[in-house]
Amino acid sequence: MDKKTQVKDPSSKTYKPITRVVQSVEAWNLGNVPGSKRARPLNEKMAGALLNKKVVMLIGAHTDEELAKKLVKTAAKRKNVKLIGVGSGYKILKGLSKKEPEYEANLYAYLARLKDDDDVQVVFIIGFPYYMTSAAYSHLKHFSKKISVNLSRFGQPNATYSLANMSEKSWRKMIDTILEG
Amino acid sequence: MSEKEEETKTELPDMGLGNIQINIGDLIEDWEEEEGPTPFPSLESLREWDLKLLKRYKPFYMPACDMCCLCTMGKCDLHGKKGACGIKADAQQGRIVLIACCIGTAAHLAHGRHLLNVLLERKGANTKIDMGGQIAIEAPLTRLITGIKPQRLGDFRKVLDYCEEQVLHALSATHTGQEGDALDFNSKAFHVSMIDNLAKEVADIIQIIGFDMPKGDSEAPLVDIGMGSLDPKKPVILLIGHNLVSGTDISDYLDKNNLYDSVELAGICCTSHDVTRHDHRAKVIGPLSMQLRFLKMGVADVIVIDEQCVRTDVLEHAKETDTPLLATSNKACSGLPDLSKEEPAVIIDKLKSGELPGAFIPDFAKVGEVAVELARYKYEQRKDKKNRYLKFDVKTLASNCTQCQLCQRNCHFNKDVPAAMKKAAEGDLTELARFFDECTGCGKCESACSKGLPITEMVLAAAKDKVANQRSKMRIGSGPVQDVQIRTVGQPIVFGEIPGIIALVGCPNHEGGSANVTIAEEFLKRNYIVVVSGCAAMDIALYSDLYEQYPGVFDKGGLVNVGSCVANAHILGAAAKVAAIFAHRKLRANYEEIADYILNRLGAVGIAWGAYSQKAASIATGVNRMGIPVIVGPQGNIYRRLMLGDTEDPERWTVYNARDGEEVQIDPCPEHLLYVAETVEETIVMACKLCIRPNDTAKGRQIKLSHYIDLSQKYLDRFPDDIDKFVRTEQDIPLTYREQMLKTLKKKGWTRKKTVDPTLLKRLVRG
Repeated sequence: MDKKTQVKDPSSKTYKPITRVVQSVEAWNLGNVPGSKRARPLNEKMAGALLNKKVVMLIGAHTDEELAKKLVKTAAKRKNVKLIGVGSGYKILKGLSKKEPEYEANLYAYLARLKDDDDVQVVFIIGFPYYMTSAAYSHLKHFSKKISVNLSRFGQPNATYSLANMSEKSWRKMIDTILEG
Repeated sequence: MSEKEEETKTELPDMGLGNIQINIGDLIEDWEEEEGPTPFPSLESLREWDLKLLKRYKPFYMPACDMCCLCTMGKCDLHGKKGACGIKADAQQGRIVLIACCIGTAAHLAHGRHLLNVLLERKGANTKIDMGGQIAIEAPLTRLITGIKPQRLGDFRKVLDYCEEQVLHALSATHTGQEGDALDFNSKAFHVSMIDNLAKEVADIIQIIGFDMPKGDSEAPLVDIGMGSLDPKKPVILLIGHNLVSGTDISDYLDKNNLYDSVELAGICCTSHDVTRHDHRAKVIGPLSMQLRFLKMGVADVIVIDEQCVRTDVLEHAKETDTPLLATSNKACSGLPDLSKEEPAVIIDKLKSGELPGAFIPDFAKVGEVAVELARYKYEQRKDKKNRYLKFDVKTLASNCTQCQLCQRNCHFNKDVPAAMKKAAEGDLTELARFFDECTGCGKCESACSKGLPITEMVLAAAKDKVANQRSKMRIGSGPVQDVQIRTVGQPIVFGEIPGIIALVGCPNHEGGSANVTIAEEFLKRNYIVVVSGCAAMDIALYSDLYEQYPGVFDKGGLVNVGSCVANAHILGAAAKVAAIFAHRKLRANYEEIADYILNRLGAVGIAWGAYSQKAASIATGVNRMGIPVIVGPQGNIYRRLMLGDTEDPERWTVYNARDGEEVQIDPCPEHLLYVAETVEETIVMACKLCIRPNDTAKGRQIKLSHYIDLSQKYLDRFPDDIDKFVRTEQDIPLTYREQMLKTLKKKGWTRKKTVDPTLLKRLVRG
């Protein structure tokens, strides 16, 4: 048997598994099965690191008010975090800040332009209906190099990083840790 | 072949020429209008036009899944790589969109073909296409796309033959190893969806002629709509679907036997639109969102299904309430035995005895008698099966909920059913009752429930007063817009003085039918023309009295219900007629020019807030090819592909100035072609903006900008910061906002733009 066709003994110390074991996030909506590439679980440490990059947070009309307040505070503290009120989400931000919030008419129209924007490395999509968000993450996953992050308590497997499904109480605690950390 | 068809076909005596047949009666064109460049266009004929649209409105893809599972070399993972056939993720999305559009078109087309076959049999190929004295352009889309002017029913054979061939070619392009380019898939989706609109026009004209429906009557009568509109003291026949043939035969049987006063004939979805267009004593229960609920209520004594949007588990629900099911279309036989060879009395006996849960009866002549007589019998037998939900103890049932959340995790709206159950267990039914209005009634929650709770009926029980009182009025479908009305509104629409046409169409896959009302009312008050069809037309009736408040005329402030899904082809037809009647553009086989005219001049927008089916995909894509933007509600993203403009990219907005052929940049309008909105508020503001057209007069632009600013302030609480893009000269600035606008324009460094006669087609340059 020549060297090329020699098979390594799996019990030998040099054997390495050919696949990596990667944890992935379960979709909240049970029909939302994305396929091969699924979000990695977001933890406090990872979230902290991501928040240090060039971040844009897109705020939809369904954003939880308490969360919105915290995001406004976070953005005020960090120059690298930009908040954008999208469509009716603009009104939420307007009510929370003296400064005129940034505005985009539509989530997908913004993402279509984002591809070429070097000023953004990480995209948080917050406060949109579950499937709208899932589709937005899917677009980014397939057609852009941006890192996408899901901060909602409903798992989004199409994001690059997503919180796992969790109760409202645990989620609020997690958000506090992430944003205040 | 029917006798009537035989009349038009002659077999020659054997003269040694073999089996030669000569068809006598094929269409002979005696039309004075010169034929345009694209009669009976094939898959590639209008590709150039499509690519122009797709260059400006780039497809935006959102794969529902990373995989392709269409061949045995798969599943293929398309995330960042190609499939075994070489396909990439963007092309795969285009392919899936094309498949959806083929399915949608096939449904309308098969529907049209069925209607034609029935009418050829009943009335003959020589039946004249008479759309009444007020409609001279009888079939604008047929003229535009095929280049023929149909005069007799038999002429539609050629049109539908053509449509069928196009669907065949388009579908074949989705086979492995055929098309591989994303844009070409989109072009083919445009093509097959244009065919969808053509097939719908043909189908509706056939039924207007064959079933005596209104021909553009703006004073068409109002009919009863809603679950509460049915008299509980009468047997009820429930129609579900889209093809009226069986429904009208039942209606005619009731009429002939003077039974309309003692039997209720009512429908869900478009069949009921069309049966009420035939006889307005019939009633409408409501849109698709009422289907499962009404089936569960067991109020119907007989259920008659035809085709499209019928729940595939209808037999299961019919059995639960001991309601016989009559399936009448070969598209949806429901596994029932074919009893069409039996006499009506025999069929009735078999169903009376319960020997069979239902029957497949594709012979419409028998359905009328069977449905009516069976309903009268069953009514007496099954009184205890009706409204079972009223006996439910919701509090006790809800106390069985384990809060496992499977209901919520299966709901595409992510409705918090567990929270509503928790409250119901405490005796508070308000949250549960809200689902009656705020959910689409698909039943996925119930199907997933780990305790088998009858959630749909629990919602009905919680909302029992709403159910009982759900009754209002809907204007029946008027069909095509009369030419005389087009003559009146053509100029003000094109000049922008009527700020736009808002077409609310489509299904009820949304969180509340009142959304369509909010949108319609806002634009009616502002003197837009609001045109509605299908389930959207029913939503408006169920949640408002707008049909009683606003006239049914195609003019400013008019609310026109054209009718069922197939009737919404008349909305596009009206757009084409504006080009033909007002602007004297030639329709005949002249698709590109008319689409170019509409894109640049006619402020029309389609809104499908609850788009759900593949038919909705083909309807929207067909409308898009003709230059009309469409907005879909949040669930519409599951169609996977949008077509979005970019106001920051000037190259996309280059046109020819038809006066001298110069290539110039225009104001970026309409901004998008296919758009998903998150909220009703966003929809209203965007719809208003999408009515702006490059060729608006200064007065028209002032009016449109005035609405855009006003609505933006009302719904988004902000003065729009993109108005500089839509102001060409100072004359475009509305007086009311002059000061603020001038400030914005100065801040943005606005400069005056040249006013042009815009076209995307070089051949239309005059100079």
